[in-house]
Amino acid sequence: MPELKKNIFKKKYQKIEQEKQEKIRQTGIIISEHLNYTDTSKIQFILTNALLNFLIVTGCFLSFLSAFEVQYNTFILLAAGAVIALFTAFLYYNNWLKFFGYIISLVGFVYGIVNLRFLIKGGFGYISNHTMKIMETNLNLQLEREYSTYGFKESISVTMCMIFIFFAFMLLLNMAITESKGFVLTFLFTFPIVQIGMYFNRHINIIYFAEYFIGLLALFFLKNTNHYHMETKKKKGFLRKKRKNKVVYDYVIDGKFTLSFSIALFVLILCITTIFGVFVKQNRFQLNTPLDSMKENTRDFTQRLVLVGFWGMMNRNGSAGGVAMNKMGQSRYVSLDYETDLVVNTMFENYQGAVYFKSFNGTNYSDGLWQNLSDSKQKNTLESYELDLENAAQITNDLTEYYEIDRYVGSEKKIEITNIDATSIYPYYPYNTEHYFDKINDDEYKDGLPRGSRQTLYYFPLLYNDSVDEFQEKIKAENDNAYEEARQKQDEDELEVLDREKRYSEYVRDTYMNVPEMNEDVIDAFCKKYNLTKDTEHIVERLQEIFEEDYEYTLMPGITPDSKEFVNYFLDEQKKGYCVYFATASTLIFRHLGIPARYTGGYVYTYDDFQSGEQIDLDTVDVKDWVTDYSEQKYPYGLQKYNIDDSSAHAWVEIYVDGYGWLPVDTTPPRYDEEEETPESQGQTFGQFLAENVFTSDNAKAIRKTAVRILYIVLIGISGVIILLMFLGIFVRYYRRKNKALLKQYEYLCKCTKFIGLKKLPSMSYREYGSLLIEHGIVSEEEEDVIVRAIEKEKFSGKKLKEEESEVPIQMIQRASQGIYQNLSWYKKIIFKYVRWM
Amino acid sequence: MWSRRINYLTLIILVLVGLIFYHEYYMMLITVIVVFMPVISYIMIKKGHEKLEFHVDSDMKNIGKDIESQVYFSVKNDSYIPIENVHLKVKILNSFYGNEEEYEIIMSAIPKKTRKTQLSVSGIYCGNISVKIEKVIFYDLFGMVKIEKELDESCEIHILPSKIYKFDEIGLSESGSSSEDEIQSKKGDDPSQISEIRNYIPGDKLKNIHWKLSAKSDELQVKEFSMPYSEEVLLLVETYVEKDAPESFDEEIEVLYAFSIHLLNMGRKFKMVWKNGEYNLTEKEIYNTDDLNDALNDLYYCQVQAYNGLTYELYKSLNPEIKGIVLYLSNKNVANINAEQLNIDAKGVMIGCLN
Repeated sequence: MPELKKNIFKKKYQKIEQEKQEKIRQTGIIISEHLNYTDTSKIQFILTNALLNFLIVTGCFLSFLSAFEVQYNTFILLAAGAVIALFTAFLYYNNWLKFFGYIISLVGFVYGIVNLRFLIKGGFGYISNHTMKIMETNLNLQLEREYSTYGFKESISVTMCMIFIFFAFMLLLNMAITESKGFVLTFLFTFPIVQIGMYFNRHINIIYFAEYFIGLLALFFLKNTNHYHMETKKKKGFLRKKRKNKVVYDYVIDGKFTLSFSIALFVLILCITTIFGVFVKQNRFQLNTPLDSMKENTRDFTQRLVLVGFWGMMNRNGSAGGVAMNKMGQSRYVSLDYETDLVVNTMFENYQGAVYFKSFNGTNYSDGLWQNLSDSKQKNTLESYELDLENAAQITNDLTEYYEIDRYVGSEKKIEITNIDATSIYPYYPYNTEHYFDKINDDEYKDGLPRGSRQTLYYFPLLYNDSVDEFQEKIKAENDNAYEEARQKQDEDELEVLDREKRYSEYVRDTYMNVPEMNEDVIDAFCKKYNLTKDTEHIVERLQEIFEEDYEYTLMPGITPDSKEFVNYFLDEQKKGYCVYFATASTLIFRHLGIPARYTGGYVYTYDDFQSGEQIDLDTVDVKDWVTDYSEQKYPYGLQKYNIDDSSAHAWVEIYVDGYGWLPVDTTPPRYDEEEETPESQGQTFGQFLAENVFTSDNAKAIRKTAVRILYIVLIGISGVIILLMFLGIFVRYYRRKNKALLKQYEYLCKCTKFIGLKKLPSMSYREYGSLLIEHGIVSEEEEDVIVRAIEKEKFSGKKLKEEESEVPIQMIQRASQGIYQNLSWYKKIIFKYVRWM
Repeated sequence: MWSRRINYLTLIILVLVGLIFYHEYYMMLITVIVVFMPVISYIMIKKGHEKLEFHVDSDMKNIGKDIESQVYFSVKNDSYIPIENVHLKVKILNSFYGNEEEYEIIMSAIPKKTRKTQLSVSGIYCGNISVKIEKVIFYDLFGMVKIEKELDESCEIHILPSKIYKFDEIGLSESGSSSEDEIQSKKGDDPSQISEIRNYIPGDKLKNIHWKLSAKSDELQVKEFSMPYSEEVLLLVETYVEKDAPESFDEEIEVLYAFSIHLLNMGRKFKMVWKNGEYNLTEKEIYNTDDLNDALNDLYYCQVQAYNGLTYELYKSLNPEIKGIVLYLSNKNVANINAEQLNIDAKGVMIGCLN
């Protein structure tokens, strides 16, 4: 195959060559491929790149900072921006500079980050806080996240932080600008930053904005020119293209053009801006159109973006870390972002059990998917049992008024829940919450809690209970008592509540007992294996034990094969999973054993988590507003603010307790820390990881030592390269002296004179150039005559002169070159000899 | 150009979408800039293009075959408007053969500067290579509008003959007044006399250099020989060019030049005649190499003939009786010519003596 390819190429080449030769034969003209610009103007090209980079990056970030009224030192930032832009642009001057420049950049950047990390983080903190504050007002959000500024002065901290951002951005954009005038990439990286201020109608400094826009537009037009390729990559001054019957020579780059174009564009835009500014004043600017509706349409998206950030938007598993109402067993693992989803302000009392913030209820199960009543279109409705949504929902609260169950249900307390990034279709009510009426049906809420919104509720917490059976017995006893008392008192209201519960219980038994056929056998086998029957005592605890002993809790259970059913596969083969797995299987097992149950998802906050909140000073609030029976003994943690993230997302089971209502039970085995992905190990950025684990004070000494070593290696490397270049220079000079080719020696003389500013222009004849040399005393008239005669003779005859003919002119040329060197200043002599190898 | 227009249109659409979405003062400003800029740019280029100058020049006017001459193209921009793409439509052709090469050179024009580029040109046939800028196309600041300009800027390079032929068997004594002894003198003797000493010019033979005199003076001196013969020789040059075989005519020019030098070296003055146009014969008297070069230069501008033998026919019609020695040079044997052919070492070229 390669041979065939080679032959094809060979034939093609031969054909081209034949065509070329035939063309030459016909026309008698040979055009050599020597088309070149007399001036490559590389420096101007680099300066243009630096200018564009400077305009775009400083314009972009200063527009942003000015829009959000962040304090910074303008002069230092602009000066630093200019220096960084020049530095990054000159990295492309040649390959040596690029190589060493990038190493120095990397070392410098890391060194700076290590030493100034808190100052930089402080700057980030200031910028973020300023931005958040304005967004809070504009988007009507309750933003709870505030970033630490470490006590640094704002202008210093922000300036320092911006210098590092400039450096990183300029280094990145310089690649795009220099290599390909990458307009799209530059636009995508910078415009999102500039537009934030515009979106929120902030007052952006017009100078910075114009700076950014001019830079971007210049880039757009230069990209369109097709003359932007870096010269070091394309050594030729012109590219040759064959088009039909003609040959096209197109120049590669022209630094002077790009620079003059950028300046022309700058002047042009400045003129238009000035004229526009004169005729259309900013404060009078009005577009009387309903255009703002587009902003309204994006408001929800923007709110979410502000709340959860870019990566939060990318989190496919949403707010509940995989505990969503999607088909189960489809993802290999659960990815947690550890970012706040809910913020809860409340007081927790002693012996309080876990607080469940309920979101989704699954009533009907089928092949790995839970559906609620609406989705499964179940026919039997509450009306058939002479119930409605409101009174069905209130059963537990209504019943507990007649029971003496203080040991199980705590006193009423206030709770404030703010939705930061939890799914907004759910309300996240704790159990036993008052005003529990907004339901679509028995297992679904009408209104969710929108992101950024806060709701205040009052609820009766469940206190810690060690046995569900004991609770059930207590309830049964209380229920019997209540009936007896009600009958004795002839309390119609109480009797109505108790009867209502009976009807609801029937409804629940008809609705929440379904086990799919495909799961019956496996569940039956499971129950037989573990001797689980309808009469088994402490069934919940027993199931917990079984799962803890024979099953494994993991966030990485793997995918359920397509050929397997989710629950069957989990119970029979997989035997590992997370809460969703255990809750689903438990629900079906309970139903199989005759206990009405439903699957539930949401967030759970356990007793262990209660002390992890942020203390709120009780002097700043009215305690009685939160609880009516406050005492330090009963509420040892006081009032706290809790950030609930998706590591608290959970799935559990609600079983129906006759005479009470739905009771949450948890059969998921406890997590073990070694399996858990922690924020420290996963949720951090690389920068945080470096700052907190690598660049610690303990490591500082080692880092300094390493840095010094790197510096030594770099210095030794540079010295070695210089010495190598010097030696190579010696060789080059030696062989040039030995060279007896007259034209080569003459070219060398031209190079030498060019070094001192006497360039032989292509249009100059040998005589004219000779006169120039005489004029500057480089050669005498006699010498010039001999040299020029010899050169003309060799050049025009097309034959090489004999050695004896060329000997004298060569000696004269060498004397002239030597004379040039002798008259140079010391530093120019070094450049002449060791840098230019002349 | 269309891609640029589409790109710009996309930019305008994006800006308008931005204006609708952001509903902001700065977006309005951007919209105004983006919409008006091409108009301003067009007006500027319309005014500015008049200040553009184009030149083409070469560093050597007379060169031998396969020797490169640098042709310089320059664009001078006296305005303050940078122009990214200046397209120079260039035609290069050897006027004898008419087969041309088309080139397009794209350059930039910097405000108040001259941009220059160069092309190395060489020829494999004798003749006059003409490099001509026929047309210039340039675009506005954003490359969306083009303006064309007809131009007539050109430069010429003469490709001189350089081959050496043997003409040992040529005898001209029978027809001329010079004695055979004078012509066939002893080897090494030059039958001609030095009539002039002049400065060296490129192309002069090394053997004609007067070394002693050159050593005394500052410059190389060359000996010029006079004609001791009274009888003139006439070289009738057929200027027929077969376009598909240009090498034949090239060979003829080579032979013509070499033979002329041979005659001059023999000390013969002679006339060179060729047909120029339909009814004209151009006649040049050659006394020395300067005259020869001038004659050759004129010959390079002659109108070549479409058929072989036309020169001969015209000459015969104008001169029914041939006097002196008439040597007819043609790049192919011409039918119905009663001429004694000289023996020369050149394929496809004949020198026939018409007397």
